[in-house]
Amino acid sequence: MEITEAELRAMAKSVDERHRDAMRTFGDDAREAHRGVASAGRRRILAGAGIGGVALAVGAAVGPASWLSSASAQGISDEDLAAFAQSVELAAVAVYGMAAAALSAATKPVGVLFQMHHQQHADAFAAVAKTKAVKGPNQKLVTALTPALQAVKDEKSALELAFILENQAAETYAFGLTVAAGAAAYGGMATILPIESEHAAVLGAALGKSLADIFVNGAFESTAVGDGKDVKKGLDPAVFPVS
Amino acid sequence: MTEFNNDEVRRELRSIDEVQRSVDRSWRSVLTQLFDPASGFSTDEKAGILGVPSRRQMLRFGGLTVAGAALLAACGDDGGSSSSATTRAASSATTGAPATTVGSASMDLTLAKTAASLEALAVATYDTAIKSGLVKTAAIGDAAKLFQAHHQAHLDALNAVVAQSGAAKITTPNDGVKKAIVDPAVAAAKTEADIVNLAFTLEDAAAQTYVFAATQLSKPALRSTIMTIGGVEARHRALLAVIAQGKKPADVFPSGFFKADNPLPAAALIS
Repeated sequence: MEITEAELRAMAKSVDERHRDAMRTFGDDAREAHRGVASAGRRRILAGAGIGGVALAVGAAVGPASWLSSASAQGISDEDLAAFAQSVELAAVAVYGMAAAALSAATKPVGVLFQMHHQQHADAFAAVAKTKAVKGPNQKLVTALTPALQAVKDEKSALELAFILENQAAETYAFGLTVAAGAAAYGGMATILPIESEHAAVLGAALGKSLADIFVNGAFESTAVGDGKDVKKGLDPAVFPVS
Repeated sequence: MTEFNNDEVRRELRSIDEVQRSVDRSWRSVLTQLFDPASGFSTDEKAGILGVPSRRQMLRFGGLTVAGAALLAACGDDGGSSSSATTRAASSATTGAPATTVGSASMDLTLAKTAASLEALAVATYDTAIKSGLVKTAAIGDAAKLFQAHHQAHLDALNAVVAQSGAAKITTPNDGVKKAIVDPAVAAAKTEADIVNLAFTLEDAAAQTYVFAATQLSKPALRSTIMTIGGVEARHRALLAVIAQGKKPADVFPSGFFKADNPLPAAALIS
């Protein structure tokens, strides 16, 4: 399943439109927010009813057992989780920047635009992380990715690296959603996860991968996390702590 | 297929940069203020900024008689006082409304059932597409079969949830969406492109439904699980758009962040 350069350029135009759509409502949203209310306090949108049967059933039915592992055991807070997510997004921004030199003129705009998405995501997570927001990319992740970056010799290898990272980002958020407690954190992850999945799908198509290879975990995104070496697993906050 | 020259692409990118830079600083400032506990912004306002449905948006569920008072009581006010289970129960009893409130187990079940019915509809629709004789391109036929298998796996997983909660498994396609979208499209389908367009519409609605559900479900495990499905629907959507539909992605992607509002007609919710 090949994708033409023209299609790839069209994708760039599409992302442009998406971005413009998002920005178009920014002013109104900001004005609406600034109307202000008297009350304060960080509260969850959803008030739990105290009945966990369905949740437990879902976990048992379809949730990989590995979701029980890292972050929940770490007792990670939403702010910590958001800071970690921000650091991952900033690492993605850095990777796209470093890989850009290997991209052709036709493909580079797509890389630039996906990089821009990741910057937007990083900004959104920084707002959730508040005082725990990081100043730069996840250094341990950048270090782990350095050999792969050094091995990028051509466009194909650059896109392959991006494909892996986008998949891992989606998986990281599927994992993060098992931990996030507040609406800002899980709302952000829920709206960002499918974008990373779409990035991965578009890159997979651009690489000429088979459909089976584009869906790296089959019918479900994985919530498993690991050390970054497996495209089928997200990034474990315990392996890539924010410094 | 429209071609873009490099100059055109560069011009567009410069334009994007200008737009981005013009709002980025303000955006960061607004977000920082928004989530400052002392900001005074209500939960609904925060939700609105992030694209997360507010509690009041749940009132759009026309098929459910959720009273506003009960809903707000269940979700808590913005003034800092906690809403007790007693308050929720009293409100529900007073209004006679079903306990289908945001973040409640009953809403969880409603969303699981509705999602299962959408998966059943997707399985049936892909079956119709495959047997229609209209799909001529082998790659599109293969994609339809794979996507159908994914939806069957999703249906099985969601039905396991539904069954474990004590409710009957969902085997019937979502009637509200079927009547509103699928039946008219199938009746009018004349070409492969018509079939692909229908598939895209369904995948788009499914993906958005899952994002919406993720903002409404009561437990982290539920939210994660629903998005392990939602992410795959998004992949379906993107691939149909780029590979099969052949239209410009600019006409496909509505935003840099996935929409989180409920895309379904009121009759589509299954309580």
